[in-house]
Formats: sequence, C-alpha cells, structure tokens
Amino acid sequence: MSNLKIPALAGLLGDFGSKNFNWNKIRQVANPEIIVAFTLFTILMFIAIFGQFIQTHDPMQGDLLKRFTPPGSEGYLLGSDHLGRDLWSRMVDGLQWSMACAMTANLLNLFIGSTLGLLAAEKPGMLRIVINQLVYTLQSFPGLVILICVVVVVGQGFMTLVMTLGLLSWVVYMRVVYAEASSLFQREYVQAARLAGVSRWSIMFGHVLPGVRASLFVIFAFHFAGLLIAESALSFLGLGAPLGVPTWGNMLAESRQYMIRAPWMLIVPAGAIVTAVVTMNLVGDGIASLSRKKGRSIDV
Amino acid sequence: MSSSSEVNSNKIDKRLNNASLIGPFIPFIQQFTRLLVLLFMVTTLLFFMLRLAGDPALVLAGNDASPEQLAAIRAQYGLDKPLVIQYFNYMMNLVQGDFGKSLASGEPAMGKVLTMLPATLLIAGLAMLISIIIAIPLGAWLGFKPERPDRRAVSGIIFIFQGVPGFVTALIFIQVFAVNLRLLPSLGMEWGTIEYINFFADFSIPIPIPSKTWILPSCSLAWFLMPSLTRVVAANTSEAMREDYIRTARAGGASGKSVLWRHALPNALLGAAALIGTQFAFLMGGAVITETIFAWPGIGWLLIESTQTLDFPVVQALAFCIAILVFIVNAITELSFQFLDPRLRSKGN
Amino acid sequence: MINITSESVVEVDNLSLEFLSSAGNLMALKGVSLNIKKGEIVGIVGESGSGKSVTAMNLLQLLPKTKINIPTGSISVLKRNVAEMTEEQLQVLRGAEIAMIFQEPMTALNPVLRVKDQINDILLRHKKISQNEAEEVSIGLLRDMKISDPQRVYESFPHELSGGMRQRVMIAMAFSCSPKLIVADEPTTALDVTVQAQILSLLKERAKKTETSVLLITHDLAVVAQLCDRVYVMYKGEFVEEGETRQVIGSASHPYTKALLNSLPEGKKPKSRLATIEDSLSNNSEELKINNKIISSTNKHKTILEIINGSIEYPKDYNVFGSPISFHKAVDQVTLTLEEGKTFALVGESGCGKTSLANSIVGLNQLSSGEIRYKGRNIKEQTPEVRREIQIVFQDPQSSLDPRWPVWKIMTEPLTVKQNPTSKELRIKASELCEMVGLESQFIDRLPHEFSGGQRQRIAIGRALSVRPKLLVLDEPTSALDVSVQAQILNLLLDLQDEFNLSYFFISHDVAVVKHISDMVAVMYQSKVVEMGEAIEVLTAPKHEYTKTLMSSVPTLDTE
Repeated sequence: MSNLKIPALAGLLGDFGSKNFNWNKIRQVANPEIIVAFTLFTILMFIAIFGQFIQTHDPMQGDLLKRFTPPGSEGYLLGSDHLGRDLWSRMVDGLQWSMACAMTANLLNLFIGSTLGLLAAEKPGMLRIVINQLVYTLQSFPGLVILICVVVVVGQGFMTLVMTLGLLSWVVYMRVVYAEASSLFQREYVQAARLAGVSRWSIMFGHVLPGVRASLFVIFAFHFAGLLIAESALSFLGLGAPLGVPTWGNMLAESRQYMIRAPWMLIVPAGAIVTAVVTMNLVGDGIASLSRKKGRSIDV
Repeated sequence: MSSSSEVNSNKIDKRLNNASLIGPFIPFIQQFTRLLVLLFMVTTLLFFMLRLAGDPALVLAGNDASPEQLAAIRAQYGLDKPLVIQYFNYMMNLVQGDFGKSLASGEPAMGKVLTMLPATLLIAGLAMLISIIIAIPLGAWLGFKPERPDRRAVSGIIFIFQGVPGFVTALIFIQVFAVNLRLLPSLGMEWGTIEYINFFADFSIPIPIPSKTWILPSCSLAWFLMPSLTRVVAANTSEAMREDYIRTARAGGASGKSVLWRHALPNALLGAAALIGTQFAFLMGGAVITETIFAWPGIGWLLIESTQTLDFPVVQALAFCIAILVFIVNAITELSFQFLDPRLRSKGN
Repeated sequence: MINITSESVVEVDNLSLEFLSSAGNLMALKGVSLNIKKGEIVGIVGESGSGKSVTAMNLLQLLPKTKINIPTGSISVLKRNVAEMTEEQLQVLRGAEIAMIFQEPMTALNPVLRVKDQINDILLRHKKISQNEAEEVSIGLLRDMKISDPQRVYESFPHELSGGMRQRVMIAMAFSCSPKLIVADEPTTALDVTVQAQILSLLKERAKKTETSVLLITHDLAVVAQLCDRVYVMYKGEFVEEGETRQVIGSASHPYTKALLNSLPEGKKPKSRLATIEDSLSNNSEELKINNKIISSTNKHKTILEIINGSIEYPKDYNVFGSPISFHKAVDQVTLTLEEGKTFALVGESGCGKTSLANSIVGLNQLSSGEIRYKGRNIKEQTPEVRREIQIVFQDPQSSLDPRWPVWKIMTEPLTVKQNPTSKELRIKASELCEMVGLESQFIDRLPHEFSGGQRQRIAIGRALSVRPKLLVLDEPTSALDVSVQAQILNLLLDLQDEFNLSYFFISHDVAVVKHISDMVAVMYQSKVVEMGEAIEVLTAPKHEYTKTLMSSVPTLDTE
C-alpha cells in the first residue's frame, strides 16, 4: 500500500564500485543493529589484516618467569599462559588463522554449493537425482564425523582443514540455491524468456543467479560463523591446527589443565570465538533484514 | 486483489504437492533406497580412506614388530591380498552382518558400538527434551509480540547464546559448576543403580537411576539445539500471527491467549518439527565433542578414540550405526509431521 | 424492500486515519462519514488502495494500534464508542455483536482445526451453552447455509472443502451468534462466478431474514447492484458519492463514479473503446471520441491456429515405485480453430483446464494426444523462428517481469537471442516499444516495482511485441487489475490488433470482458469445450446447460 522504495544493501553490494553505489541509500536503510554489526566486522577485519602491527609480544615466545600473569598486569593486556606467552598476541594470531581458514573454505563452499544447486534446480533428470543423493549423504551424516576421519587420514594442517571444510560443508548453499532457483525457474518471466528462445545460460546468469544473490550474501555470513565454530572445534579436539600453532581451539585445549589457576586462559579464546561468531551472525541478520525490506518494496 | 488469493492458494497447493511425496508408502521405499546408497557410499569411502591412512597390520602388531610378525599378521587377516579383493571380502561380510573385530581389543566391532550406544542416546535424548521444553514456550512468548522491549531484550540474549559454540559452553559449565561452585561432577558417567523390571521370567529391562553426572553433558549438548530451535519457534509464531486465520479468530472475539495457543502455535510447531529432524545429525556431531570433554563413554568418544588408533572396523561400524540412527530420527519426525498437519494426514489415508 | 427502522447500527463521523511508518505517514482515510441502519445492506465500492478495507477493519478495531493514528473523527458501533474500548471489551463485542467475513477462503480458516472446532469456539465463547448444544446449533447453522451434508462438513478440516464450501462455513461462523452487524470484505472475489452467485444470494437471504445489517466491501459495482440497498463510492480515502444503489448506478453525479461505470465493458458496444478514469476525470467532453471509435478487424478468414483433439493429462496417483498409475485429464479432446486477425476467447472457471491449453500452445507443456497446427503445420515441426511468432502475456504483471531488470532490458530480452545488438540499439528499440504500448519512453531505466499494475502489464505486452508476433496468447491479462485499468489494457489490445493484424487467444473467467473483446468464444467446463461459436451468439443465447448457468450467474448492473 505504502510506496516505500527502499533499495537493499544486498542489491547495492552488487553495484559496488560502479557509479550507482550510494552511501546515502545505505544510510537510509541502516538500523542500529546493522551499524553495530558492520562496525564489529570492520574491527575484526582490521585486526586480521594488520595483526602484526598491534601484537605486543611474539606470540610463540614465552617468558617462564611470567607464567599465569593475570590480564592487565606486567604489560600483558590479556594475561599470559602456562608458558608465559602473551594471550593478546596469540589471540590475534588465532583470529588471522580462523578468518583465513573460514574465508577460503566458505568461498569454496559457495562455489560448489551454488553450482550444484543451480544445476539440480534447472530440470529434473539424472543429474538432479545424483546431486540430491550426495546432499542426502552429507546431510544425514554428521559433518564433524566425516571431517574427523578425513583429518585423521590426511593429517593436520591449514590446507587439510580448508579443503575438508571446503569440500564437505557446502550443503547449506546447495539447499537454499536449489529451493530458490527451483521457484525462480517456474517464474513467469523465466518462462517468457524461454519462449522467446533465450539460452539456458543466459537465463541462469541473467535471471536466476541474480535472484538468489541476496540469499547467498546472507548464507555467506551465517555459514562463516558456522565455519569459525567448526574450525575451532576441530583444533580443540586436536584435529585441526597442528599442536603449538596459536589458534583459538588450541588455546582452549591448553586452558583445560589450568582452569583453577588461570581462568583467563579459558575466557580470552572463548570470548574471541563468541565475539567473532556473534558478529558474523549479526551481519547475516542485517543483510537478511535489508533484503526483506527490498522484497517488501517490490511487493507493494 | 484476486491475484493475492491466487498466490496464496498456489502456495498451499505447492505444499500439498510436496506433501504427497512424503505420504506413507512411496517415500518410505524411496528413502530406504537412499539409505542403502548412503550406507554403501560411506562404507566404501571410509574403507579406502582408512586404508590409505595407515597399515592395520602395524596397528595390530605394534610399532616394534619384526617384518616376519607383520607378514604373519597380514596373512592371518587377509591383508596381503590386493586392496580390491579385501574390499570385496569386507563388503561380503558386511552384507552378512559381520563388521569384523576391533583391532584394539578383539571384540566384535558392532558389539562394541552397541554397548556404547545407550550412553549417547541418553544424553542426546535428554538434550532434545531440554531443548524442546525450553524452546517451545520461550519461542511462543517471543514470537507472540516480538516488538515489545522485553521480548527484544530476551531475543538479543538468545542471539548471543546462539553464537556460543557448544564446546565452549561445556568448558564454561565445567569452570562455573564444577571448578568454581563445586556443585556438579565434570567427568565420567554413572548409570546410578540399575534396576530391572521383570516382564517375564527371562526378560527384563534395565532402568537407570538418574545421576548428577548426566546434568552437565546433557545441558551442554542441549546448547547445540536450544537457541536455534527457540529462534525458529519464535519466527514461525510471529509469522503465523500475521496469517489470515489469526485475523478471523480475532474477529470472532478470541482472546490473545487463545489466539496464541490454539491458533498460532500449532501451525508454528510444524516448522519446528522439521528443524528437530534435520538437526539430529548436527546433534550427533555435537555429541562427539561433548563426550570427549566430559569423558562420557558413548559412541562420540569411541569415534575419536578409534579414529586416532586407526581401529577401522570400529569406525566403520560407528558410521553405519550413526547413519541408521539419523535415518530413524528423520522417519520419526516425518511421522510426527503427519500427525501434526491434518493436510498431510488426509493425504495419507 | 423491508422496512428499515431508523435505528443506527454504525455511525462513523468525519473519520481520518493515517498509517505510521519510518518512511513517512500515509493518510488512508480522509474525513469519512458512514451510517448503517438496522437490517440494511450497505456497500462500499472502490479500487485497490482506496481505503475501503481499512474502513472495515477499523470498525472492529482490528488494525494494530501502534501503527495507526486517528487525528479526527469518531466511530460508534451499536451506540458504543469502539475506539475507546479496551481489548477485553472488544473481544466480547467481536463475533457476538459484530462479525466479519474475509476474502480468502483458502487462508482465512485455520488449517489445523476442524470446522466444528472453529464454529464451536465462537459459540462457546459468547453463549452460555454446553458442548452438545453448540454442536446442534453449529450443524443447524451449516444446514441453513444450504450445505447438503452438514455433518460431514462439520467434521472436516478446511482443506477438505471447496472454496465455495469454505466461504459458506465462514458465513455460518459470522451468523453463529446472531450479530447485529456483519462486515464482509470482498467475500466472493476469489470465487468462481457461479459460486459467487450462490454465496451472494445466501448472504442476502440470511441477512434479510435475521434483520442483520451488512457492510459489504467490494471492487465490483455489479455485486453492489445485486446486493446492496445503499452504496458509498470510495476514491483515494474519501467517499465521493453515496446514496441508494439504484440511484448511484442509474444516474451517477460524481465524475469518478461515472468514470468507474464507463470503464466497465458490460453494456458497451463490443470492441468499442472504453472510457478510462483519466479520460473522464480530466475532460468529460471526450466521450464522443470514446464511444464512437469502433475498431474493424480485417476479414480474411485465414486460419492461423488449429487444435485437433488436444488432450492433456497430469499424473494423479503414484505407485510404490513413484511411477504414475492414474491420470487427471486437464484437457479432454478439444478441437478449435483460430482465424488470423481475430480474437478467440476461452471462457471457464478455475480448474477447467483453460490455462493448461494455453500453455500447450506456446510450448510450456505438451499435449498428451492430439496436435496443434500453426499455419497449417504441426507446431512441433515448425522452426524456432516461426514458433517465436506465438507469444504469451501472463495474468500477473508482478511475477512476469524480472524485478531486478530495468524496463528497456525486459522489453528487448527476446531480441538478444539471435543477434548481438548493442545496448544503445536495444534502448532505442525499447523506446519504440514503449510508445507502441502507451508508456512514456523516458522511464525505460526504471525497475518494474516503480510502475503501477497496469503499466507493468503494458511492459509485458511490449516484451511480447518485440519479436513482431502474429499470435498472442493472453492468459487472464486483466483479472489482476482494477476495472479502470482493465479498460485501458483492453483498449490497448484492441488498438494493437487493429494496427498489426494480431490474432489473440484470450483466456478469461470474466464473461463481460470476453463479450467485449472477442469474435469467437469457446466455453470450457470440466476439461471439455461444451459450447463454441460467434461470441455474441454464444453469450446472448446460450444453448448448453452450463453456459446458461454461467450467464445467469454473472452479476449485472441492473438492480432488479
């Protein structure tokens, strides 16, 4: 009824770099939660990129005389661990590791999941059956169990972690793309394009892929959070990062023996994980609410 | 005007069409075929992956075994034959229900898994129960009037809870309840005293007595499901509140309470039931971590243990067992769907 | 006519209402005054967005109080000021004294509750009776609604009932506590015309019998003419005219009401131009031009399309292995011929198979037996270029345009198939197409949602025209539009046919529109064509039983 013409960030992101990109439009639609989300996200990205310059100590080098220093004393911002290493610097290293790992795996997931989703959605046939069986397999089997097996087999390390996460956890993308693309392929404008003789690739890239783009942004953020959790869980179990590499999962595993003596060894990495995950969830929620607004402005 | 109702009716028709696919018979056979393909894929994949990972003969004989001992063990277990033949033999045994013997202890692999299974089912069941008991009323309360300040505050807290990974929760629980407050034990499992109920002379069922050791593991595991379930119930409820039949109910003079509990919630729970089904596989993944942290002797703990020692018959049996478990839970969810949604119920008849 | 006592049931005085939103407030009602007396049936007629539903919802205070603001006016229902009542007081009133009937019979009943629960709920809430008594009353009510098998309906879930049956249940619910006032918001808009006739007569009969006042909200003047004693005409949040139905329809005084009446195809000369709201509001003297231009189509009598014994089947039940075992015949042995430059209309109610048939002409689905011949050859043997001469325009201009594409890209998409034109060429072409369909060409960079429904339908027609088609399949092209917009689109279609010698395959459920636009007509009922012939002949002197029922069900502007 009301004629709100609110462009969505999801749509605007597509214009990034072009002359249509408009900060004013973004300011119009942003609510406080979205501003908080993107501020936190910017801070995280800043730390991840410029980590080396804000570390106060060498994250690997410990001072055994200064073991278990509580946070805020003797130059240790967040305290020190059982080997006298600086927790702040280790946390920054952990952030870099987690972000790099989740980002790479996520891009891989995005590519595999949306390709398979599109292919399966286009028309019924053998390809759809095979892809659905693959999804069913990955879905009805705890992802973590497969990951554990793979990591045990191939060994620990950054590449192993990224590849296993990247190749095995794309189901969420596939399911969403499949569901949305299936409905888009039934839309009348796609049918009209088909009747006019437009080729299947033009339809896919011209109508269907742009139609699922907003959802892809949303999943990317939420899935990023999921991958952060998976990565730290694997490290925690001793299956992700090699021992000694300062990652949040490893830090949590180390903290277990010193729970009474140095609770901050638990609190620092736990807080870091929660902050990162909540930030990504907030970003996902923000993008989702923006694209909902856009959807509504189209509907009226 | 008329178009909007057309769209609505299309939506419903689509749901019914999907529903006819999960009617009682067709889907069961389809799903069963899918399960068989799934089991085949998983066992095959695991067989070759685990063989690539290490030599079972080495595991059996130990690292300091002589080449002669190794050869003897290889011959005894048929490990000297080509990999394809080994695979064939393995699959033949599998079809007959023989999963082989544990390389670590020599017990039948499946038997070992099945003795560990009840402990996992116990915390998984408790975790689900806790999640449902908390999530449904809380989600209904949140979704009824989501714009109120108190609801927004609680939603915010749930949102942050959702961002706390289950294993971090487990560690925090241990820190708070076991280390700081010394209220609850953090490790191990007790069945309590086991009582038997005799039905017939030689048939009895063990009834475990609840023990304090159950609390932390099941609460931690519940954390994997509870926040997302709450959010889904809340979202579904607030969506149902916008439906036309709610307007009809209000125009008929229904009170707020009756609108929520009688009209909105039953519709909202249909979506939540689907989530419980799909999240069970995720919950089993959570069980692996939770059991490791609490040294809870279930199949998750066994999985870590046996993958690290390359006890591959046990890993295989575990994979098999988990896949079937997930299948059963999904089947139950679908049945409950049919029970909850009359549109599906009448399709089935 | 029943004698109407002077007792007022509803008195709305100078009511204004605005919707609050962060993007700016929207004035929905501007000083509306409404009066309904006991036993009176009053209509509010207006187009979408005119504020008629808001008026209705506000009588029961069903709008979210935090999102509206009422600067002026008072509402008194049954001598009580509802605006100042608490939610608890309102709950006693709703259902018992004032009841409401909604448009969507599909979604307005709770899908998980049986009919009995939904009716009994209301009875038990407002009356002090036992469960058993409630059951008796409910079944009696259903029987009063002329439901032949009330016991079965009573035990059913909503999805097990047809649309008309659901609406009967809704009416039964509304009458259950013998309210003083029933507000019916587009009660028959989603129903087929034969069902609509039954529901309307039922509503009228019950209301007159029980001396219940009815406020009927509708966009359809003919429905008002059939049902209402008095009518209010609403336009942009105001009542522009009010009075006895006969008087308003017979001799409208306000230009908007006149325009609304003029834009109806009913009673106008076939193929004549219809007056649009803009014509009438801007300049009344244009009427001369409007009514006299008669479009003559060339009479070549050349066959362009034939369907011979066409049948379409869909799988209905599946066996255990997922292969179909029984089929539902959507189209059964249909044979018809379409001549070049003519309009062939297919009339029928929802589910009769007309859309399936249309889709098979353009190739969106396949005939299971029989054949379609285009220009004398089986359409499957024609080259893709020839097949592109057949284009389709869908019902809903909302979903038939890609919401992310600018208009020029949408309109010229079919042209990108063969050559690789530059976007400059395409934009020029798009401007031409815009002119052809009566859009201003400076808007070609806009997105579809920036246009109104009628403009969007013009864009869809422009896209179909871009490949210079010979045959257009029009699938209910005007049924999602307001009547005045419908008139514009019908005018446009007639103009285009004249200009390009187009043939139309026109699908509709609206007899008046079909009568206006078509040369030949086929009436479809339960998958079969039951009657076919010259439009005037079939629609004025129907021979088949079903066509007769259909024609007598169509509400007309004649007030008995």
